[in-house]
Amino acid sequence: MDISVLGAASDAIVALADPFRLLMLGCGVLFGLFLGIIPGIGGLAGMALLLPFTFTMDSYAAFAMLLGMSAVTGTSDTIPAVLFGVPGTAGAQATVMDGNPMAKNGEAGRALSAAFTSSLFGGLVGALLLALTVPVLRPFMLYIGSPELLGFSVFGIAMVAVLSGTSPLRGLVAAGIGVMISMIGADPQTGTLRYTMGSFYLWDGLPIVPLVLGLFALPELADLAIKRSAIASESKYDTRKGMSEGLRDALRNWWLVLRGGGLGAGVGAIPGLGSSVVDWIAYGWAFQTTKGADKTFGKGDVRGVIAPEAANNAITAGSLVPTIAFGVPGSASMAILLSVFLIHGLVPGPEMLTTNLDVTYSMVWSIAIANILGAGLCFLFSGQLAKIAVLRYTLILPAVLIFVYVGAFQSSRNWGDLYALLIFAAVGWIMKQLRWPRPPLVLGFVLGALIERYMFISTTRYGFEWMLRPLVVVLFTMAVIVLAGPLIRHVRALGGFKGIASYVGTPRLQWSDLLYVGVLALAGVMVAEALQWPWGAKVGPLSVGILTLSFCVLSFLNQVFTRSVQRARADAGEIRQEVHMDTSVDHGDITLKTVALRAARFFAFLVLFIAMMAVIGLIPTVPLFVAVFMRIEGREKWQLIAGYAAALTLTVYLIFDQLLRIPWPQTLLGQWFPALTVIPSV
Amino acid sequence: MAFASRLPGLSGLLGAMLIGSVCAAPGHAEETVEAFYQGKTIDMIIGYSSGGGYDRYARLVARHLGKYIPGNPEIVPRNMPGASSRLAAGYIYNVAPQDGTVLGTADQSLSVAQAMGESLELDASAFGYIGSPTMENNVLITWHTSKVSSVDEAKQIAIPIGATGGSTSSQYPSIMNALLGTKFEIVSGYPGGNDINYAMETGEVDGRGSVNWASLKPLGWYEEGLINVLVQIGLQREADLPDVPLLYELASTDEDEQLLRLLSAPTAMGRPIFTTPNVPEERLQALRKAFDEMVADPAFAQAAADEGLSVIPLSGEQLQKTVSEILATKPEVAARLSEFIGVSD
Repeated sequence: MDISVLGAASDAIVALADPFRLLMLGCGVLFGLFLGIIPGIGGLAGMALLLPFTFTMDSYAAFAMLLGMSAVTGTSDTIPAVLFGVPGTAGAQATVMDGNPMAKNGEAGRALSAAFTSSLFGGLVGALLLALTVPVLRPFMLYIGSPELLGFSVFGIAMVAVLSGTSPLRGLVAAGIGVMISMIGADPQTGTLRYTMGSFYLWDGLPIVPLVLGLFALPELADLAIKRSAIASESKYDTRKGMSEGLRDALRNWWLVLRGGGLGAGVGAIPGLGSSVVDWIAYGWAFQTTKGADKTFGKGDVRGVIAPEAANNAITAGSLVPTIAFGVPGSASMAILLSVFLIHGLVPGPEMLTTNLDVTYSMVWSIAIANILGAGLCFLFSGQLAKIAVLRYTLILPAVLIFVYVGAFQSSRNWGDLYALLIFAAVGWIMKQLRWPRPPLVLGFVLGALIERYMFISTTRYGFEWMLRPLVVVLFTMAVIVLAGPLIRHVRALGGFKGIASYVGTPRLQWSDLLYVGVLALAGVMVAEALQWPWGAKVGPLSVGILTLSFCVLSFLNQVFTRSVQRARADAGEIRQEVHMDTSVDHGDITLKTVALRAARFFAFLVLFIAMMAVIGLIPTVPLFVAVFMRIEGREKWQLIAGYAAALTLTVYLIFDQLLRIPWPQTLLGQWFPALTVIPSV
Repeated sequence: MAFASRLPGLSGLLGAMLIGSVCAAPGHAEETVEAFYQGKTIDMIIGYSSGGGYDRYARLVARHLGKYIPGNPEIVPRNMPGASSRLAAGYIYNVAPQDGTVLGTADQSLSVAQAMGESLELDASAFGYIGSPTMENNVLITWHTSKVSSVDEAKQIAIPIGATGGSTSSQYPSIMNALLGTKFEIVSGYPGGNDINYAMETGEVDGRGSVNWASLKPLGWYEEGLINVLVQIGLQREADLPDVPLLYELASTDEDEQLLRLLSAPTAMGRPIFTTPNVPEERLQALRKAFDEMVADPAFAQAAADEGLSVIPLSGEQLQKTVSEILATKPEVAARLSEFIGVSD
């Protein structure tokens, strides 16, 4: 390595060793950990909140604080993901898949400490990769144009095949619906408003936070309410044992950690991909490449926690690459970081890699130190945190539910957020019960819009020549391999096409087939609506819509015609168990009728919350909802309820009203009695 | 503060009484502005998410404006992003209390959208405009390696121009193609302006259809000769771009000039700060006066400079006048512009 590079790196650590700068880094880390735990709030909100404090700092301290914050939200977001199945940020979705089942098995402490250890090393790998590649970044990046970005997105969406587990057709349908939903809003070509249903809320597209929280968080909470017990009946290990087990797990799977970190840094460097898909790609990759994964993933395999956690902590380092080298922010929070460059008179581009190289290396160091601090702090508490899993559900649910609600609401500060949350909660729960894989829907949602965008740019700019660019060819080939692998394996497991044909028997319908009717109707309506748009706006939704419709019909026929044979063979014990790529549903010995009743009751609580919020405002809703829920569901003592409600209300008030300054919607109470609007959120 | 001791003027009194009777909130008329704002909190509704130009200017104003308003209310910035700020504008127009406790910032082109007949559920001229901390033109640029460095060359040589779709970056070059005969090949769909900058560096496109001059200047590209500025879009030339033509100056017919003036008018709104309709006149005037005092204060200029923001203030009266002019555009001109850039659904 160049002497000047080493010189800059050591200058940078000396500069960062200043007590004030270290203090700011520490503050950033604490704040980042705090934001990561709260569902729906992550690095973006943190950047916005901390930005004003950096105006009076020097650039080292400013970057130390902001990067310290954003580097560790991916560390603490694991906590709610493991304990409650609620991803703390979009980067912790895949952690839920195995982390939450581990908590249910009484292994919360092990899952958390394994996650924090992998976060630490993943983050360090990211920082190291950034440090090593800084000198060659710009020339390399100049080879990456829109066709390559398209290639990366296509490669990402190919992971759908892996993430669909045993139901590839249903996975494709889910992915297709995800892509269609991503096309809501003004289209990037003609500005046509697609599927906005006349509402301003959907102009900029559906925000991802209510989608993710609805799809993953609420169904887990609903099942907790249906089961009516603690998340885990007992802790398998004592505090210390759980911590050391997790640590050992991560170290034993060091290669997985390294790969995850590398993947995270790489994906982070690609603008637009970011943390909401990297965890899925890492999870899918781990599933494909680790031994015996097809039997244990989704049921509480620690490797399913290690891979995404290592990857999502390397994101921050990766996303700095385009920001530093070209001023292209890879994510919304990097866009805010970009303004910090300009405030301090730093211009992203060649200068950051030459004259200002020490500033660049101070960023690398900040990320590295933040990861050590953040993971260290979390690790220390992991044993204690694990004890939450054995608390009874009436103590857990009200607080978590309220945070999910407000977390979703703060994404656009609009009623639409709450409606979206409820709709996707219902969709997610039904998908979970009927064993439709949910991950492909998210992947389709994040990548579909990117693919449409870059496909257009590539073809308008290069015609069809772009397909011959070397990196594009490599990426497309990799995508095909990823796609074909599980498909071939699946066909082979069924005994080739002949074997598949032998599954065809007497058609048999089930009530759950109604979901197909719903999906067909939705996709059909969306296709029909697209017909009238200008070509640039409709070609994407039309082609994806028609593909989705065909996959849906195929999947339906497949289900109806193979059901009788499949059941017979399963009864005879001839079918090998394969992994279903989603958390499993286990209602124990509760009857279907009770499940339905309790699910309806839970849904009624969700609706009640929204209704209360509309009438009396969010802040007064918190204590009232807590009281109603805890009293009716759990017959908790009034004393306990009062304390719990007061503490929670104060927390919500401080975080969302005072810190995040959410503009509350108008309430009926406020309209009837304007004087009452002095109460926050009324 | 001197203003605080002033008694409400007759017109203000009448206005306030009128509002009082409409809102069934008596007592406003007797209150001085200072007494009203004492201990109150003003919400600053920002129609965009954190970090963008509108947000940074609105937060800067929110931090300082309270000191100049009688009674020194605290101003709390609240982001309400969505639909190019139409959600926030709709909230401020239809929902927010109309007593002067809500300020906001939203898209500079709202009034042009209204003139073109877009269904906005609001009347942009009814807002009480307080002022804008800045006003900057947009510019159309090409990278230094491009064969095109002037509008005349753009009429001869076809080059790819990056745009973000449904925004000024695709509107300017497509209208120039239609009216001036330029041969821009518009490559639309980039996620944001920085992505287009990057595409210029990699050679994927030759230029960028629109960029705010204020956001381009700090990069130093113009002084270093890395970019050519072909045309600026605004109603008067930037002080540091005296030789770059304004878009409307290039029109060959009166009709085209009217159209291009309307297209350029939003830049004259800067980053507008406004309050709800029907705010008692004395309070509106107090807010405007506070804004004017604030932008004249060197402390504010210094604070802006610390954040890398330039200050070229516009008064509330100026903004109100610009909005009225835009809305007074002849319907046929607005309709013609709408054919080019209107939102379809």
